[in-house]
Amino acid sequence: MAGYIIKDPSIQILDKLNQAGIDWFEWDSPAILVNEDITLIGRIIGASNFETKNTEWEDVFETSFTFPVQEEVTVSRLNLSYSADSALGRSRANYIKLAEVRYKDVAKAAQSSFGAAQKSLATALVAYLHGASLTQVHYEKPEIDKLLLRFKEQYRQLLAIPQVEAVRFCPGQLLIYTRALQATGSFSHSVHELGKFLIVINISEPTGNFLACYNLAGAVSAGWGEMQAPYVYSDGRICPDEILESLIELVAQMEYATAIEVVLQFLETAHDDAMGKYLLRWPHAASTFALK
Amino acid sequence: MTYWWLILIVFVAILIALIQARVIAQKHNRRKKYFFASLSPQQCQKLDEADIVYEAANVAGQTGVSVRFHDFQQSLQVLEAQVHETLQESDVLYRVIYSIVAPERRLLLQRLSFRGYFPVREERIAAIVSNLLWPIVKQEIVVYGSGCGGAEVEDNGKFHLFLAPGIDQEEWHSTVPSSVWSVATRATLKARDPDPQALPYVDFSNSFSPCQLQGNQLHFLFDVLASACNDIDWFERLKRRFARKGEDHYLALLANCLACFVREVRIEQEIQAYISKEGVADFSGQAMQALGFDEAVPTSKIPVKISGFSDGHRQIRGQAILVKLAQQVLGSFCSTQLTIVSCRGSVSAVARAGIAADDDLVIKFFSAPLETRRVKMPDYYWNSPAPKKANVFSPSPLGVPIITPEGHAVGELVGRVVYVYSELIQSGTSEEALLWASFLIEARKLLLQLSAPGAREAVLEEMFAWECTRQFKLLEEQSPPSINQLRDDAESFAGSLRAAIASQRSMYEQMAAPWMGLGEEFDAIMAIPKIVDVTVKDNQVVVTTKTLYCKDTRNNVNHTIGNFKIIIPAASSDGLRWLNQATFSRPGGMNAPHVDAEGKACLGNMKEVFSKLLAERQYAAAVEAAIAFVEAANTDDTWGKNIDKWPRANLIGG
Repeated sequence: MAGYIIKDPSIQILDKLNQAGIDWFEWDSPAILVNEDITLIGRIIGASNFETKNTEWEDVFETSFTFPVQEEVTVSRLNLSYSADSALGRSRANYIKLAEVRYKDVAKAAQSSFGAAQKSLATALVAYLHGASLTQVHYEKPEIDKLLLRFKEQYRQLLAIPQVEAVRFCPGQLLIYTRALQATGSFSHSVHELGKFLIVINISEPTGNFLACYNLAGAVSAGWGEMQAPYVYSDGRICPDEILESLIELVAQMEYATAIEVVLQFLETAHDDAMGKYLLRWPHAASTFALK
Repeated sequence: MTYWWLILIVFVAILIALIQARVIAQKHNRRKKYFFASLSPQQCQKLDEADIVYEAANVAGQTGVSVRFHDFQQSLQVLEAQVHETLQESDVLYRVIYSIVAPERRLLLQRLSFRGYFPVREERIAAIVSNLLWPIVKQEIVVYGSGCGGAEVEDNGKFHLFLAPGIDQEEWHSTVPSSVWSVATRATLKARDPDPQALPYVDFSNSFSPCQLQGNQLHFLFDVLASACNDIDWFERLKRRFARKGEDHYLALLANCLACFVREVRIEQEIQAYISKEGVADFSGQAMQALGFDEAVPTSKIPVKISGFSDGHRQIRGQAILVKLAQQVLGSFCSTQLTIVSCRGSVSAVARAGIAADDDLVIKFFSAPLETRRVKMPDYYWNSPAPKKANVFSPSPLGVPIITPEGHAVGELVGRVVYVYSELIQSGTSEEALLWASFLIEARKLLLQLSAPGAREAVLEEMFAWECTRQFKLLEEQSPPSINQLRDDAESFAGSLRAAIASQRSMYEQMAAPWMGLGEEFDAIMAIPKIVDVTVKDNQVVVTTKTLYCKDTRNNVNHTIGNFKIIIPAASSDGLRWLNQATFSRPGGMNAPHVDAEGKACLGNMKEVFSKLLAERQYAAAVEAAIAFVEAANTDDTWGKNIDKWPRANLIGG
């Protein structure tokens, strides 16, 4: 198979390749050599196009990727009414320099505070979910045959959801694969393509994350680092929102189909708030046809 | 004769020394222990019956038993063992290289024939070969020594044992390690690599392959009897050649190698028995034909094409077992060939890309289809330790997972492609072979299940329902919390959720701001008429103003308050400070009518306004509000009514 040299790959690209299980070899650092289908590589790293050039070696090509341009959320800048060399101009430059540091510190403190709040929420969530699940299980006590019938029905209900492509499982985990999801927001005139998702419901070990959503098309730099969706953090965790209360109840009752419908609706709707506005970072859908 | 008494003394002294040496030797012998490796439970029972005391031991990586010195000879008799060498492992422990004398030994010896040259007497080799190979080789055995060349072997129903194949040793590539299956080689010996079609047997402690099996031929890949070794001098050679009994190190090496080979073969036989037992219902030709599979082609004849594997000795053995078992269990699902591709842990598309015919099977080893994720590797598969890797793949949306009884997905079936998520077999150890056989049997069952039309969704639905039910039952085993506990948990969760939502909102506001660029923020503040300068210091915005004035609404008189440095904190109004820079004496040391001596203000209703503006980082608006705050005095207030004590301003039109 042909080999492709990717020059100066970013950490994000390496992460994406690693997550997709693609092996690479170091090649005249900072470059890597991959022996996979180049369209597949492009898809994994979220490139829109690629170009290859021959090298001195047979079947080894130098490859460059083009990535889709991200829309900026910030507004346009004003024109200066004074010279940058003037006293005011120097003062302005100094202000910018110092304020930048300050903003970073302030944002860092806010992030650290949010991290602590998330940790505390996760602990409380696990305790509540575990208790609620046990209460529900002991309240019902059905026979095995009835349970099997009930879960078979759940499986059919899950597959009946238009966005759901497949349902699989691991011990203590349900894996729900979706088709490409599209999201809308009142602030955006078009539909945005989020990509296919893997939604994991951790039944037995919710300590990590009781419900995780992974964007199979890759995360997008939006808001707090790489985001799986406007309201889903890089680790697949849904952002703190009132929806968590409903989701916990549904998962505790083992009403997985309804829980997934709620999650899908949540993913596909962006509100006019600081987090929701990052929807603009996702590409426009090729057609406005919505799966719903 | 005058010194006769001297001779007597010397004689007595020698006698005493001899007696002492014997006592010391006896004392030492009492501590000596002899280790026998790989004794079966039946052999241990024989020792029990003879009242021989023994204890379990592990020596040189082998498990076995050790007996005391004074039980040694009796143990040999009870076990009917023939000693080839005793190797000193420590001060008191000796490892016995032995073989159990075969029953009907004479008959067996008649079935042995020799060809070529041997550095020791043939009857000594015959004893070892017959003792060790009789449990697994039922045919006549031909033993080949050196000088046979690349002997053409007829497939005449005999078993062929090559101790020193006549290939020029100069062409042999590798050197035998210092020990083979934990017996030292003592001399420099050369070895050749295993043949690609043969099944090598590997010493896993050093990855060296001492022998290989190819059909009915067992080849030693090195000169096990050291017949052409230059390190052995002529006298030693002569001694070895004519000795009728006694210890010979290289005969012991041969005995140990054959014993290890037999042990491995027996493990393989156990795995074969397991496969036959587990797969018995699925393997009948009638059942296969009824399902549309052609059993007419013997599974062992289905060619196997492999690619992507590395070629170390360990891996070659692993591959050989991998191929052999796959051919045996899944061969009947192929019409022309079975293809096995090692993907070395990378995801791989389902496309067959012309590597196999449509009705043939492809095994993608250590791989998964696209759109899978990595999950934590479980500790056990089929009650056996899983491969030591951090991650394994999770089932993709494309196929039907292959599940262990513990519920772990170990692979999946996508059409005619079998994905194996982890490297179930690497070196070909017995544990790995058993894991691999278990996987193949499970894959076979699934292939048969899925051959019925419309079975795919039904199988998946069944699997899903069983897993959910299993989880339900696991939860049922735990006690539920009390009502109070549940209520407390619910309240704690609700509280944490509210706090996290608020914290998240604040974080996003901080990250999103400034909504305008930093330069624009500066420009907006500087655009306020009463501002002289703005800068950042110690994480705070510091705004310098011109002189500010405040009107006493009671008499419409303007008062000078002074020029200020207004300190604007990050996001909270708590750190907001007004520091008056004027040089005149201020009433009560106050900074402004409503700002105390430390610069803190009694904000009243304005507190909320400042908090909101600062949280949104609307600093220009906050600065305007801060100036307005200084320039207004509430004369009904205790502090505000003192405005008249501030100097009057000379403002035209004031």
